[in-house]
Amino acid sequence: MTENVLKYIELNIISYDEEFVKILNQHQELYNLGKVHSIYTKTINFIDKHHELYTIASENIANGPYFLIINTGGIDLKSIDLEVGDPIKAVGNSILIGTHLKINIVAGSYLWTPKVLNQDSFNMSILRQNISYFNKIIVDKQSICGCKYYYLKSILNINNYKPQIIEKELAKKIGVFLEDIELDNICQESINSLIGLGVGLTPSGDDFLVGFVSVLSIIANNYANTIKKKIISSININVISTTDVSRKMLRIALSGKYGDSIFNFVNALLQNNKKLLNYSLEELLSIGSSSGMDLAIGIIMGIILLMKNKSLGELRYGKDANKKKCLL
Amino acid sequence: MEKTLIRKNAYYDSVTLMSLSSKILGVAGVQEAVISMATDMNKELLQNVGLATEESNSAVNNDLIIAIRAKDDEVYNEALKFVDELLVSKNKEREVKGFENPKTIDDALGYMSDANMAVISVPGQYAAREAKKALKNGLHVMLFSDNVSLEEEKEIKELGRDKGLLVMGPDCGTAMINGVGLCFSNKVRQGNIGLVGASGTGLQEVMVQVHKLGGGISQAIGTGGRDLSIEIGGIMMLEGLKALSRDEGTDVIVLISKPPAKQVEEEILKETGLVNKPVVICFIDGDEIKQKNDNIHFVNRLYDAAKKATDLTGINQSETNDNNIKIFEELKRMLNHEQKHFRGLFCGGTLCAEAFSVLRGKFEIKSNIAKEENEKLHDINNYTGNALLDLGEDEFTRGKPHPMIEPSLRLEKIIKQAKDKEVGVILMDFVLGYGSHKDPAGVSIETIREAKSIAKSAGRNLIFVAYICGTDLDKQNYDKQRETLDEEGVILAESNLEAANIVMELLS
Repeated sequence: MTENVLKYIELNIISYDEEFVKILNQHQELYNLGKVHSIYTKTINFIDKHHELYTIASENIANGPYFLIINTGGIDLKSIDLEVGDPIKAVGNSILIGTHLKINIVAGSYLWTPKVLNQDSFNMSILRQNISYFNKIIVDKQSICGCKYYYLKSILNINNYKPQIIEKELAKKIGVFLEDIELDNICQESINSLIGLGVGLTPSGDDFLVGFVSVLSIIANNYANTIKKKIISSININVISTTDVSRKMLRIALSGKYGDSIFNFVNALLQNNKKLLNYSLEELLSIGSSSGMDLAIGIIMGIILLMKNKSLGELRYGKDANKKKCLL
Repeated sequence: MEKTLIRKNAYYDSVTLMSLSSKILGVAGVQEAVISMATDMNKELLQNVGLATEESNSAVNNDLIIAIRAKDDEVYNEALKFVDELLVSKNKEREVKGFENPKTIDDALGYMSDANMAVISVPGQYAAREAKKALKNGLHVMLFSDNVSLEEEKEIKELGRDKGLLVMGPDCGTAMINGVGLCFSNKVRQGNIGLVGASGTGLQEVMVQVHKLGGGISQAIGTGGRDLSIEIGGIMMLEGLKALSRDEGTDVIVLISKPPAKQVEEEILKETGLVNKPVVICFIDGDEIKQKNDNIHFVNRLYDAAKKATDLTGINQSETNDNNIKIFEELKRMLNHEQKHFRGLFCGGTLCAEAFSVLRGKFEIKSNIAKEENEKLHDINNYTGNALLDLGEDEFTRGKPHPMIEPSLRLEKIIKQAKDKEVGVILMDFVLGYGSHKDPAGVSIETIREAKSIAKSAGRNLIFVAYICGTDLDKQNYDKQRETLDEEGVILAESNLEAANIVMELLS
């Protein structure tokens, strides 16, 4: 009965992934794509009617599956008057979020696709060198309540760190999980006991698993694929007890997908390029509070597993699929 | 001692949670603290360390658990301060240096922390969200917005009911709470008759008639037009009924609606049976319901509801003197044999509905508000025969103001009917009160004159029948409105029911 003139903040899309293309193309004008699930400084999550979670993220966040990256110019997304439950609508070449945010596909918005490793051999000494570098960084990096305690205690033999209860529990369960893998005794119990364990929107146990499984997908040799298959068969993603956002991350990882920040770190570990390693590690560690650290530890433990198995000579190759494609 | 706080569906970033965890653990006397999402593993951990409580056990994945083991209550409360500091959303009072129009409900509450009602009028897809915000802030809600989904309506009404708050709407245009008229409402005498209505102009008509009959209104609660549907189940009608039954200022209750869904009707009757005050139930166009409770009185016309309610309060005003009978024969003679039809141009939806209900018993009519397919007016621009138009419906108001606010919307329609040689009578309502145009009669009179002139030059006479829904206390000056129309020869009815009956008499 009453018309209101709504003032939108308009931001441009930098990149989107194929899942966003699907939902935008399938629907008509002003169709409700979904509703806002959660809002943070640099990201807005929304769910569609099938409860699939998508993320709209600022340019500081690395690309990934189900991600739409927008140019925020540094504004805090929480400062826009949006609420959980706000509708998301597609209108022409734009997406309307609630009453105050409009994001536009512009010339230059591109389709993101996951990167693929493009090298045919590994240098073990470079790998060891890079992991040593990582070890130095991790000791100094501020991170609590996550998997760091496990790594300090079990890998670096550092015992002067005072853990919280959750860190102790995580350390115990990561140990059991990795032992089961080495003994070829992967079971539902040891995997599920990690899922949902930890502080934060994406519990540390989940982040660890995402990092671990992602490195298996990126390396993708026979051994990695075998381990990954066994892990997948031991998880019933629909009944696990964890948060919506974390379930989404796990589902993406188990489907063989991963974001740029994970790939960049794995790729950098395999190169002899300290700058690249530094940069990619910084990028990864900037995720969340402990999530980045937990992902990194999961990745490192995955690499260590493959090194122990001596399987890193077998590498599956693929073309670099990260080609920029403009929609307009 | 161990205690747990649960925040349902709480999404806080890790930095905030880490910060909170550190602060709590830093309080002297806190022995252990775990702040985590309520996943099974985290809950198991709480169990293992003796921090689990009934609340934490029943929390679900997306809930946040703040579990604290503290030396004593004092330490626990000290630790809790950090929870409030870090996790409670901003709701600060603003220093009013210069008033700026608030842009959110929170902002508005900053200026008026003692407000107890929010009137919400935003586009439909955002209305439920704003209503929820208001309810969560402890405000009653009047939801003027339409285009709210049934699911959302049910959700906010259930929330309101659970919190003991009114949710009037969506698409609620009329209410009067504690003597204060909201949106479209007439100024009436305060009294002891309380109304609950799923109908804006239905409420207005009953309020106005009660006033004219010498009675007064304690409260008029609107529920929105869909409240008595099966999907909503009459949530607010029932809550309104309960509220009025407890209200010391209300001695007689009137419920107004179109006929509800059967199941909902039964619920309402059941609840009405528990009320210790007389209740008048007006289901417009409904059948009389046979029941044994002497306290419940059924009518199906708005004027009759007002009359019954006023009688029940002990005020027995005599019925309006029907002087019009004398002139009916003269008026009928003014119309030629072709002029067999009437057209109704209404601002008030329920006024149109009541007229339709009265007249369809005698005539074949089409209307844009008809439910039966054979009575439905499919082309709102092209019709013949008898027709009643509710000009406040969406098909007429898309992108335009409501005709009660801007009556000039119907002026072109008046001219169109005047050009139709088969039209003998044009029926109109003029709604006064808060929210309505400042001079509904005045803005229309030139066009009425022109319409008569058009008919005259084609060798016809045109009769206008009008009802002014207003009181002597309304700002538009009721007497002046009457005088304006009367001077132009418009036949004035004393009630909406009478207006429809006059049309029936003229063309039967």
